[in-house]
Amino acid sequence: MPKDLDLLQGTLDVLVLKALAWGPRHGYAVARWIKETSDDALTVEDRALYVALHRLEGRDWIESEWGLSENNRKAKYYQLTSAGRKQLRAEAAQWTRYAEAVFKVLGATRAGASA
Amino acid sequence: MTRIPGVRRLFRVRGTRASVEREVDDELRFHLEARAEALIASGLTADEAHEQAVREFGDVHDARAELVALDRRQTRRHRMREWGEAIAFDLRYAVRGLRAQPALAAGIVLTLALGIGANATMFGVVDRLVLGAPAHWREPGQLEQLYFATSYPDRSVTSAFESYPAYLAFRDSVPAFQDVAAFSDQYTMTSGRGAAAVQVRARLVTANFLRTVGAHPALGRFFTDEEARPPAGAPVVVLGYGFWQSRFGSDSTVLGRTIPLGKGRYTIIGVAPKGLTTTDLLPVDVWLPVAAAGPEQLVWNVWTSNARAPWLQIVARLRSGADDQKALAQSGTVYHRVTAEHDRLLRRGSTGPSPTYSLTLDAVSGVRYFNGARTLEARVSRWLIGVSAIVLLIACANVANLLLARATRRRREIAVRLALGVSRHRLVGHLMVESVLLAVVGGSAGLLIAEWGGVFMRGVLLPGVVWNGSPVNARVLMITAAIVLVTGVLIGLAPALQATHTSLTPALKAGASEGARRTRLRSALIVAQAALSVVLLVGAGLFARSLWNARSVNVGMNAHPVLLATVDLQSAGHTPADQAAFMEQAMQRLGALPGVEDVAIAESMAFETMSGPWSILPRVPVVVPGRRDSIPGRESGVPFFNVVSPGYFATVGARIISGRGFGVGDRANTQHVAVINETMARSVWPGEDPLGKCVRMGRQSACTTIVGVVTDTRVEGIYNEPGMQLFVPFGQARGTARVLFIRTRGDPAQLEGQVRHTLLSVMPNIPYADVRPVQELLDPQFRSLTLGATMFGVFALLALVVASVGLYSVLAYDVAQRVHEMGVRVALGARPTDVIRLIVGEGVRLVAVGIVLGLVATLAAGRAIASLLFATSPHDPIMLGVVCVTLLVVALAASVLPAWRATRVDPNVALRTE
Repeated sequence: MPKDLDLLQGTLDVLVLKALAWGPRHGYAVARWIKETSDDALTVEDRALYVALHRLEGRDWIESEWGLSENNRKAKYYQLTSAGRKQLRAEAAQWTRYAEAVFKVLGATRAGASA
Repeated sequence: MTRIPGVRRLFRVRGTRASVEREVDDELRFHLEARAEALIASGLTADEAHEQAVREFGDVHDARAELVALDRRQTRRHRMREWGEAIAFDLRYAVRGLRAQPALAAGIVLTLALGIGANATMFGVVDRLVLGAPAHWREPGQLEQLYFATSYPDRSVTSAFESYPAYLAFRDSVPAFQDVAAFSDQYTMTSGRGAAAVQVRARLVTANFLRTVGAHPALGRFFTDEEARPPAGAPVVVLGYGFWQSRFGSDSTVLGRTIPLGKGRYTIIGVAPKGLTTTDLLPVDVWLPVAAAGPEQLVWNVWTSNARAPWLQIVARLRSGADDQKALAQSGTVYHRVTAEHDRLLRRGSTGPSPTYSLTLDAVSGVRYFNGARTLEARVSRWLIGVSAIVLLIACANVANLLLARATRRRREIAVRLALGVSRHRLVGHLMVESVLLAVVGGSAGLLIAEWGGVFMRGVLLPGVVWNGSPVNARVLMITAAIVLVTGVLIGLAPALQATHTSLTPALKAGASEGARRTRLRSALIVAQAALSVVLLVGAGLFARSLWNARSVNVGMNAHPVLLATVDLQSAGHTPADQAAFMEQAMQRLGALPGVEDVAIAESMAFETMSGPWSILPRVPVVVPGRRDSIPGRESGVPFFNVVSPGYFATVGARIISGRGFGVGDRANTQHVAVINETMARSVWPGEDPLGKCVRMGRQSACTTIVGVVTDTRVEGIYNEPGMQLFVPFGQARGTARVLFIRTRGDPAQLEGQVRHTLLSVMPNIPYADVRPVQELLDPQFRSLTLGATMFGVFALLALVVASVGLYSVLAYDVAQRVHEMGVRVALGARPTDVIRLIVGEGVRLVAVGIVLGLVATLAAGRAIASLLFATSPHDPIMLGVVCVTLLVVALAASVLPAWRATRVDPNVALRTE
């Protein structure tokens, strides 16, 4: 297993929101989706994930409902609210800008403008 | 919450504590099981899989606790928000509903405003007079006033006054007291001479007075212990705030200046906070340290050690942690020691059994008489707060009735809402929001009424009390808010209860008429209103009658056209000869004024006992030679004694019943003569003619002959039966003329200025000449009755109006509901008089039941109020009769219009409508 990347503060929230972008999922599915999508690079501690889910629900970015899982077991499903969708868009955009900036710096080929 | 598509919905519970925990458990269990299943599929055993799932998860127990806490917070917030949204919705709905019926809404708001306003006003008054401590007295719960009881075998006397030595004992020997302060009664001092002279109301206080009550000076400082140290202290003065404003124009540079007071000059060292008073709430112009003014003001020469002179009221602040019981026990012990030490002195040489002395502590709230009893005004006010509560109850009953009628009209709307799935719970909430909204609007308007009402009561009905601040203060606001809430619930209760009992089917059917149960409830409210109105009307009647009786009581003088002038020449240092000459000259000059009918002088004036403990009316022991038992030896049996000029009786309007008054021929060298009053004639010589009888006064050995009998004068106040009185002429007694009586033609107030001017012209250097109508001395005597009569009257009228409007609205509504029935009746040949009799009969019947209940309540309450009345029986049959007739007339009037409307029903129309 490759070394886990430490999740930056607030990053988990945007990952969870993204995980729900395609429709309702329960907590386990969210955890699996993050793990699989990042090719096991991002290992989210399950406990932190659930705390994030409940916290996001408190902010009304996601909402929950009890339903039946694929194998007919009672599971708690989460889905984005419209406020959550807006939040996801905003955070994703910000993340992309941030990442691009970091890439630009890391990919620099010259020592600096003042030289 | 929107349904999540693609998921089969199970349930959605937000709420209980248990359900939050259960949901978290379920969620976590699902996760762990799902993970374990995946691991099993990849080849692990069940146990291994479970273990790994838990390990991967992290601390499950901790996570559970964290999630539960998170969810609980969210649930709470969510519920609050839902609640707020529901209230906001209900409010909007209620406002819309009320705006649709502005007349009804205005009527309800006005009714509630009057009811709540009456209560807020009365609370403001009672709070000052009965409940609260004087202004600026901090933490009054820790303050106690000391009261002293002296018990003889046959009677017990309570007083708030003790001597300076007793004060010192309490100050120094009671560990439970942190501070003990004392203050004198109010008395007047003269500041300045001649035309510039003014009278100021002074208080002598101990140096620690301000510290003890917890107040801070508005300017400068209060007395130091040194300035109040006997025997002489320092001539310093702290000005009352009002006096500082009026005399010095709030000049902040007054500190250090001196003002003349009495015979001396005093340096101003501070200004008291605005409205600072002692417990009697009387205004204070100057605060003086006991030691500085004591020697000048007090008749006892050794006031610091004289234990016989009770002239100080004592208040103490409890040490923190000390309770009343401990304080009472400790101060009781001290008081026993003090009284035992001074017993012989206190008994004044009397050889009877020693009285027993005891002490009580009481709260410093409210104004009281010197014996600790509440003043009559305070007691009447306490009744009035009960009365205002009744007014509010009547108002509530009325509003409840209106809302019930409205709910009935809206019955179909309510049924529809119920049928559409609005929970009854929500419906009740909605109705409650509506009624509380009405109460809040009514309460706000009520505060306006309280502001005006408070100003009226303070200015007109209860003058002479320092009120301090606006009638609507924080405490009034708080109590009003509480009243508003209770009112809101009270008026919403009946409609809400009914809404929960609405059964759908009949309500939804068109044209269904009101159920019998509902009518009964509304009738009961009318009966209750009538009953309460009776109670108030009877109260108003009793006070009005008392006032009438008191006003028409013969005080023994025709006071109305008489002016009273007092000049305190003695304290200004004039010799008795000077004073006599001055009075003689003043009499002549005043007698020559146009508009003056008669002038007389006397040594004392009736009703003067009110002004302080050391201006008690003079009494003289009288002996009838040869009859040892003739005059009872008890203090109250000793006649009042007055020295008067020949014209006295005619001037004050007392009538000589038999014999003669005094004449210029009654001189020192002629036969000594006296005039007695009827009561004395009756009690000393029952069945005999007192004329020509001989009495010996005081230590005199010579006979004084009774030459006349005069009508009784109520010298102690209208509430006291007249005692024995004995008059002797100047020239035959050593009395000093202190008061001038000036009988005028027409309004005496118009001559006041002229009289004062004349007195000044006789002796330009006299101290302040106090000139005022005698009626002014009498008026405070009627204050409690005026207060009772006015406020009971206002409240009763209010109640009557509200109740009659209530009756009218119920009958009118009833008639509207029964249009069909009326139509049938008319179609079957009922004449208009029959219809009128039917409707009016119904109204009168309800009110009659209320009257009977009200009379029963009145008879029960009568005894309690009897002590506040004047020569009026609380069960006065004429009064009760008048009230019953009044109420019946009002009931008739309120019923006539609806009845008349009922006769106008056109059977054709009425029968076709349904």
